[in-house]
Amino acid sequence: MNISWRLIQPNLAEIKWPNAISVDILEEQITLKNALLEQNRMIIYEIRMGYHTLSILFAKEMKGSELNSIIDSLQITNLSLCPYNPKKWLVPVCYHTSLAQDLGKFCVSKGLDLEDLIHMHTSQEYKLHFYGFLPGFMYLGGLDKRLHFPRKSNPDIYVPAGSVGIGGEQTGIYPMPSPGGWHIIGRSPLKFFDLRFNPPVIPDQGDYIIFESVSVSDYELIAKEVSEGQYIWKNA
Amino acid sequence: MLKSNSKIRFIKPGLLTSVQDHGRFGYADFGVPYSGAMDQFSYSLANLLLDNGEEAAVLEMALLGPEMVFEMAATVVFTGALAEIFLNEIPQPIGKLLYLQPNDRVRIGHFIKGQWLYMGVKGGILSPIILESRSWFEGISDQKVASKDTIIHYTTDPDAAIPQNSHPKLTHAWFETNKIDVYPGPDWDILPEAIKQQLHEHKFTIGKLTSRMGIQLKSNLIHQIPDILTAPVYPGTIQLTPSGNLIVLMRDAQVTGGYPRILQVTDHSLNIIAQKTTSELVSFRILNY
Repeated sequence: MNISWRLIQPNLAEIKWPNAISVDILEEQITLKNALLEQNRMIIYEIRMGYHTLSILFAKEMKGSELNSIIDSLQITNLSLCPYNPKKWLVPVCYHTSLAQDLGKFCVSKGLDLEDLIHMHTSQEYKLHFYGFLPGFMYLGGLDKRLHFPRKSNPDIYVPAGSVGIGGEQTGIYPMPSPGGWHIIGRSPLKFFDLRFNPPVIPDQGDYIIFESVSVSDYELIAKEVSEGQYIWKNA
Repeated sequence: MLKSNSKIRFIKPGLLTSVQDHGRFGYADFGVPYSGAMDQFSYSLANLLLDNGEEAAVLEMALLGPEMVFEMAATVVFTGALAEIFLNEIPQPIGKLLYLQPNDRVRIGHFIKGQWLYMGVKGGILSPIILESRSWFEGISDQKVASKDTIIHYTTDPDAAIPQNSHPKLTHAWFETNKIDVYPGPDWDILPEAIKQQLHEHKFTIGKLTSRMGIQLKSNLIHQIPDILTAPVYPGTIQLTPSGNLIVLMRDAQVTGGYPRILQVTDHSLNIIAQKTTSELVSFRILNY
């Protein structure tokens, strides 16, 4: 692993990978996270991740030498201990102007037919790098370059829950109503943060998300199942 | 002793009145912020004075305080900001245990010094526990701040009768200092020397945009540093925005961010800066670590 690390404050350390969004880095992050938790659970309070960062909040004050020996020993011996089997989750999305306020404008701005846009957006397997921004908001990697589009300069005050957006080089789903600066091209009937279940999210870090185009009537059927707690997420 | 629950009704909800506790830990993996009392020192002090458990929930108030009626007997105490507190229109100091009788009215007037006032209740406030915390956060709890219809449950204290002659004289002296202790943040190394120098030497003004998510510090740190790849942030992380302002992330801050994380406020100083109000000045003491 090509990593560096340092203590930020006496109980907080950050590990950095080279500056890139990559599946290889993500797999190393997950492996290291699992190993850290397995070997040192008693002294670790919480682990958070970014695209090329992993921060460890310790339950006690740490010395630099202690941190070095923890990470060195993990790197040498234990990294094969934690098998990593990503799942692929199908996420239904209705690409229809009645549910997606920016769909028409987005197609025009990009010079795309609706069909092309749906094809480009649904034919990728998006890697779930981590959750952030809002409870249940997935940072997804892998958006087709032809769909990259700068964020709105004036964010919308209200974006409905389930909205699927594109902002810059990213695509994602708003798990709850929120202000937002992304272009909304579709809506999913699923709940991406559901306090009726433990854990409140379904896909794990490292899993894949695959969008599946559904009609307005299918959207409504699924939404009903979801609200009744009957919907079961499907794997590809 | 049998404990029963009773209700606080809001005559006026105030502006930013919410139920808070230590916070919601261990769910950052799912994008869930910590939340919890903005000034954790005053939060803990309220529970200590009441001999409550460490995790008891309190009422947090700011700027424009509420007016409320207690349905049944209760013992309460105020900590944090220096504010006008009236029990049935009689002024009361912070730090004194107040023994409320059924239908007693508590009204919060002006905030004289400080930003956040806490009301601890003997036995704690009993809002629902969601993901191991009672702290209100939009999207997790039903409410974000109290409204006129809000009813808050608390533990009735039938022993709330013993008058008290002395009480700890709490002051706001502990948050008078303008020195904020910080560690260099994860992205400190990408700062040019000139910016580091200004962070050491300049004073920064608390901006108007303060919320439970963050405090803006007015500054003019002109720079060409690009945004970073989205990375973990914590309460106390100070971000440098593209326009050269500083944002101190507070308890409701999201768990990741894309601006350079240039400083990290110590736990103690985070409580101090939480109590600073608009247009106060602060400067940094940058600790080596």
